[in-house]
Amino acid sequence: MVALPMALVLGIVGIINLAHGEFMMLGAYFAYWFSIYTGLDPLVALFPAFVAFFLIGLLTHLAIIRPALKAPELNQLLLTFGLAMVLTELANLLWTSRSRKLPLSYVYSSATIGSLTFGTYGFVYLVAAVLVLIGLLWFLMRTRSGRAAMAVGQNPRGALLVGINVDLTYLLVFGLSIAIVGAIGVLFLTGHSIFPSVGGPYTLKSFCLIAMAGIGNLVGILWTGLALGMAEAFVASFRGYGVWADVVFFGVLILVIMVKSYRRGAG
Amino acid sequence: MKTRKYIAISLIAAAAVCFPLYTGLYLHQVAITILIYMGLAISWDMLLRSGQLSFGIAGFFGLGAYTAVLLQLNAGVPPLFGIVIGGIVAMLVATLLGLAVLRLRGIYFAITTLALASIFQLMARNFPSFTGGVWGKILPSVIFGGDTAKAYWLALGAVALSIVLSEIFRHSRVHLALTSIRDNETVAKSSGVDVFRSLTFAFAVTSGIQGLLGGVYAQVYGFISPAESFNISFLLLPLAMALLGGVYSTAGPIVGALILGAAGEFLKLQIPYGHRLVYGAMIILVVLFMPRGVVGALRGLSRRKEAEATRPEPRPEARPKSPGKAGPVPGVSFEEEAILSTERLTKRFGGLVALDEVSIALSKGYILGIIGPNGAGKTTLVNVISGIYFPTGGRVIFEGRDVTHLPAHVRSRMGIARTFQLIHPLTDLNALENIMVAAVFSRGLGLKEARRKAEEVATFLGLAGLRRDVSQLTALEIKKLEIARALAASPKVLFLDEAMAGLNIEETEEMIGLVREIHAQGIALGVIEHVMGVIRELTHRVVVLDAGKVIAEGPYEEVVTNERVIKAYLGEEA
Repeated sequence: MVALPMALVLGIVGIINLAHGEFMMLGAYFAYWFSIYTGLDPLVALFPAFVAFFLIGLLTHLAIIRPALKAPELNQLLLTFGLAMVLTELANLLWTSRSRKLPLSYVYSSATIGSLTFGTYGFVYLVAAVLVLIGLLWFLMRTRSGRAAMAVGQNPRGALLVGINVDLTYLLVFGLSIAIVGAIGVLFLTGHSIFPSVGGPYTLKSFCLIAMAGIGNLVGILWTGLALGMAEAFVASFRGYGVWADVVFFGVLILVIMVKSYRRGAG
Repeated sequence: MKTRKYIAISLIAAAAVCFPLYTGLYLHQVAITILIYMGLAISWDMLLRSGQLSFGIAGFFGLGAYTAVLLQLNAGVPPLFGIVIGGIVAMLVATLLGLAVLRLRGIYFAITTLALASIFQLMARNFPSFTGGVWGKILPSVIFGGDTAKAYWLALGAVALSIVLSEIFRHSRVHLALTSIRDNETVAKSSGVDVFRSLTFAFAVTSGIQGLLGGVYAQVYGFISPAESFNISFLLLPLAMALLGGVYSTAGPIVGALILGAAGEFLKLQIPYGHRLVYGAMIILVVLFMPRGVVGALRGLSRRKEAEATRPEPRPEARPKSPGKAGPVPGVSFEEEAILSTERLTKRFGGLVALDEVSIALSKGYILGIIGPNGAGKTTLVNVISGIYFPTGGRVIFEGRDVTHLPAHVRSRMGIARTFQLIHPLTDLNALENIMVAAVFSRGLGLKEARRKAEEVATFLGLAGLRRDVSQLTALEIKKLEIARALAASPKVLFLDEAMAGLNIEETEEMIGLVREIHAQGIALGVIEHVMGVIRELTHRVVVLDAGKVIAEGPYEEVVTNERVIKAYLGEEA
């Protein structure tokens, strides 16, 4: 799910945002403080988070991403890597590295079918992912700016020539992607404990999913996301081997990248 | 100038060596930390010079640390020896991994190295009985019994080693190889650079340095743990330092490490949490506003002053007109003496058939013209012959050998050279170095001989002012540079892909003369050209391609009157 907006940016703006997971982390903290101060359920923060992170996304784009759009790829990587570090350390500075969690009873609700008992809350993520996917597809296929974004993704100069404001589209897409990640961060908080470096692995996972599904294939990301999630859960469920789940994940990541690049090299 | 530089360097080195004699314990510790980061920054930069961005240095650092400490604890290996082995292990692991991952480029390579480092860290955590698990292991005593001055000299030694290696990288053939790969891999390959081997070499050496430093660090502080030995700081700080100081040099990372190291120590006391924020911010700011770093910026300033002080170099004079038309070498038959030929060469890109069973032959006696409308497959043909692409079907025969499956750099070394239609000067090398790349890697010459060879070729082509940056060359000069690079490989066969495109009439005349002289040296030539006048004047035989097929072949006069050729160029009459 986290991968969807990243795919959006990579596919259209053509930038790999290594600070992606960190924005999710910020979203989670946003919801945390929101609920502490207002006493409301953190899910209420979804909407304000979306708006706030859209603005943050716009600012980030204007300040950091846009000047580097034409720079070599290496610079962009370094830049977003630096951004990731800044965000992590900023969180460290403001809220210390203590991990935080909200006690929410509904998270632990479960359903029983026959002899199987399972937590229902996990499904919230799946539903949310599907909703985000549908929303994105609708935006890209049915709205004017969404179609413009698709065009820009395929050929920026061509899009410019037919009168699309490419700069504005980049800005919009980047803002949108950060907004979605921020909102996802809110959801993330409800089920997980958060700490400043929680975002890092999600950046990598997102990249892995995109690489597996192929850049631009949003629906594919959902499927590969499910598959990878299950594979990890499978390894983790073996007693004593749970610690290897992450190794498996990184192994899969490397394997996918290699296979993809070899195939590209051959074809 | 030179002696002053050496004196300065010796003074700095002496100061660095004497440093612990006049300072206390705390400063020793600070200095050791800075030195370790400095070494990492240098080694990271050394790989970056090939255009490969590694996020894996913390991984090899930790690997070296673990190797050194575990060897001492489990096998009783003396600490110093363990450190060296730590470096060697990191180097070997990097070589093995490099064989697999160095086919990746850019973002894919960067992410993979990040993932590899994570795997190392997890492995260290997941074998508790061997590595001590999450808590790591503690040495009974730190190295030299806690004598920080000796520890400082140890770290200094490791850094000195990386500085020396880095300078060797800067001033040897490695420099030419890595820079040409960074600038343009295809050109590097065609000039005989074994890209894969060069990258593996650089990756192994730099990882070895990182492992060595990891061992030093672990021995100085006396413990290892997954969280500490593989800490993200060992990635983040060196990156920030190298970037701040200026990449692609030895001095840059050193200066950056001194500035950031001192500043970081101060900040650590001020803001215990999140002092790394500054490093992240530094990376962003430097990338955005000072891409060449402090050293680069200073150098730029002094260079501008020099440029203002000295007048621009005089433009080289046009070389004298060449002798008249060289006829075909008498008595040589086209078919018999073919030095290079293709047999039913086919290349498909997905559904597009770029080459469709193309059979051509080149011989020393003739200049072969290759013509055809845009998209006919001319450049693809050269790419397949020179090994940039591998064909879908058919064979390439060179001097009686089937070279169809040999990589580009091997073919270049055998004597197949080519120029590029879209000019590809290597912008981070000067003109002379551009030519030298081919002489060094294709001919296997030493740097001195290669320089002589490059100068010789340049003189032959009338190319002067070789110390200039490529960006200062004129269009004609860049074209000549391309040809010079090809000639420096002393080829037996040379393909010129639109060498005259974009030149004016006089320049074209000059170029035609040059091509004739090259031919007179006994080099078989394939000339791709759109200007028919050039083809008529220059070539003895012409192959016409259209939509990937050879549609006509023979002397110019015959070919241009061929009905199919006329149709291909002018279209069918409706």
